Amino acid sequence: MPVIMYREAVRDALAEEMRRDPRVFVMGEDVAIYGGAYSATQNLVQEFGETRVRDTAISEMAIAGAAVGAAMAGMRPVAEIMYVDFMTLAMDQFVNQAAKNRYMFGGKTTVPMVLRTEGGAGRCIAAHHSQSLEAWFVHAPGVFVVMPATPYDAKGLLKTCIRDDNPILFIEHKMLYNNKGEVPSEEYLIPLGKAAVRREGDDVTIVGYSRMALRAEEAGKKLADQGISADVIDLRCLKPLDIDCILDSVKKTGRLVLVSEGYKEGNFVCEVAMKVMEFAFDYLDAPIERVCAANCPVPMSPVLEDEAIPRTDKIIAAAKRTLGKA
Amino acid sequence: MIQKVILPKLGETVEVSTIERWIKNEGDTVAAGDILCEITTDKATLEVESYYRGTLLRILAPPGTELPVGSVIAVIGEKGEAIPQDILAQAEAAGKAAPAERAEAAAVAAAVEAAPAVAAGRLVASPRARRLARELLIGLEHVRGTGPGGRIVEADVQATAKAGRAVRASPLARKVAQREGVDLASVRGGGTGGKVLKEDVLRAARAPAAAPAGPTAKAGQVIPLTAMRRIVAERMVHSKRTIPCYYLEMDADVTDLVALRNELNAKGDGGKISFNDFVLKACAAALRAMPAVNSRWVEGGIERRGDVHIGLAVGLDEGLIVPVIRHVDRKSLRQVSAEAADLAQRARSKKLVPDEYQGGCMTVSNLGMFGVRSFIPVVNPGESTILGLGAVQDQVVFRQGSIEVRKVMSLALSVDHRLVDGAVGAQFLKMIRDGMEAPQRLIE
Repeated sequence: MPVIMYREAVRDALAEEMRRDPRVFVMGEDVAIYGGAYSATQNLVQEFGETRVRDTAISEMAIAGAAVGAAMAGMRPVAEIMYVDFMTLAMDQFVNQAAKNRYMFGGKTTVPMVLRTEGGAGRCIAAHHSQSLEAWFVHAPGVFVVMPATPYDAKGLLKTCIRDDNPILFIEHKMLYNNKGEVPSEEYLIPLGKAAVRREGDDVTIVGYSRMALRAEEAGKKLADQGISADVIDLRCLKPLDIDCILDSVKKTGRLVLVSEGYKEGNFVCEVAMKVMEFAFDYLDAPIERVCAANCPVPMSPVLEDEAIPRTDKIIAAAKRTLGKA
Repeated sequence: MIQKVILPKLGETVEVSTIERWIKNEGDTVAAGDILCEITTDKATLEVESYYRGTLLRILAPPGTELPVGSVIAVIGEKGEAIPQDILAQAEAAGKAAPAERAEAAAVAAAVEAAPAVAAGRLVASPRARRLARELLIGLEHVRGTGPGGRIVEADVQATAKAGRAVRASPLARKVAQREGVDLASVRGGGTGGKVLKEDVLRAARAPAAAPAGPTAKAGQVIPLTAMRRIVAERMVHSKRTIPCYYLEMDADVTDLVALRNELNAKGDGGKISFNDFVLKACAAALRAMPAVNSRWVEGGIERRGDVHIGLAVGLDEGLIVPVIRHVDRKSLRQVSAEAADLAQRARSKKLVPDEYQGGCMTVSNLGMFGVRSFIPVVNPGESTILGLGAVQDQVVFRQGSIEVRKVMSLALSVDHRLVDGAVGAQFLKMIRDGMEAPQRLIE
């Protein structure tokens, strides 16, 4: 099976969908000539031309707004917001217009758009370029939120998102772009709302997503060396959420560790914890643990940045705490 | 910088305190506000906070030592800092004084660890453990918790189940054991090959209640006195020796009181009002109306108390404590009820501060729930009277020319004859009785 990079998987998904459906087009800052800040749209303009691969002005509001309009007019835009930190400038267009128009127009319109963006720390590019803001969008009825951790998931999920008639936020991770993984050359789709079980175990459930899913898996490996077997779940999709996968695992293990690169306070995993409490309270043998980023702007210093986001050793410590083995 | 941790004076009349256990250990980092250790004074357990930030360099008072307030019990400073010789020397001298207490405290600590996970009166168990215990018909009070803080976790219930399964018992016997709260492992089986049957379990259930968690006593073994036991003994001897008592008995018709209580509790707003709460209000009114009774014997004469504070006796496994509700006359029935409930709960978990069990003007003690018809209570030194309540019983009485069945309760008042003469005492009791028989006035 071919082994390709995460960013190549994204690009391939875009190219395949654009070949398949002439209504699909790409727009964003530096997506055409430059090929994307992280090379995710490399060479697309050469194949599809400037009308279908459009460099925009530096205005996230315009990018998102134009995507809403285009989508309502019958196109299927895949617009890019270069850093999830800049989604703030696109909020009204995405959360109030894209998210709610189908409902408020009584079903007479749909907004089939994908906003591709990326977030996460690790490049020491500081507070405005390193955040994980998915919690804000899970909190908006009408949009879906997808966060793949592997090249395989990126490609299969992006294709599904493009074919979906809803507005979807597809959040990549800047530290994952050059990761390699097996990706079939034949077409495949991954349905929304299905998590992936990366490891199986009986002692504790560790749930993560995006780059933190990889760290969760790493933690699972290291815990196994210490005689602790962990169920490791990669959510892949925050909304719709595969809550059944999580519940089945918690009912088996009784212990849960939630990992997210978002700030600790008001983190998306709090929603997951609450759902587990609602549906599996009697199966919990220990309080639920969460391992999240510190409640402070992401530091620029490499040492502090590393300390501010969840490290594998912190995930391991949390798992051990659930077992009373602090 | 070296900082001394001083044994604080947590109560106006406290002279000495005993170190119960250290929460922080030598070498631990402490922050201002962290709890360093637990101490007991009289009957209450209290926490000592750190005023300083640093490393706990040395513990100078091990668990079990009783020291005068103001003693240095520990030293906080920077890691590696040298501790001044004079502090160490002083601590050594004080420490030599109490080897016996240390042994007792160690024994108590060990017993507490062996007991089921009852933290401050609450059974702490994870939801998963509770579910399993329900399924397996295991009473959580039989399970020893090994989770953090003594929490019972699933593995603990499984261990108990395994031990229980080792006991051969009929399925019916197991069900009955769970219902009656009997530990199967402690039942002698009368069936074939020692199998435990239902009647064995029922017999064990009817047997006198097991001794509270702790080292079981062998015949002839002398159990050292706990602080509470010692204090209760001293007070009782003092009372009987120095207070010349006489005793008055009266029956109270509490039919209306019971009905009013049920009516108020049916309304459902707020906590449940208990019988004793009404009695407290009746006593408060009587104390207010008769200042001669609300007095105490002091050097130089008889002190009129003025304020009305009443104690409510609470029985504990290891003894007796009387939390005091202050200014009962100024508070509404509901306020008194809430306060009494809160004090009783904290009394049971030994979390009262000295001010909460001292300073009463009289005490009310109720043994009715055990079926006692009437009893003669012992006057608390420092108070003038104590009221003993018996069980409420349906009795046939002659009332207003006809025979009726009414609810009757026995009241017994023990009175210090130095302070209150017979006629005055009788009037006082009558006032309480009349108050209980016209309960509507108590809630105004």
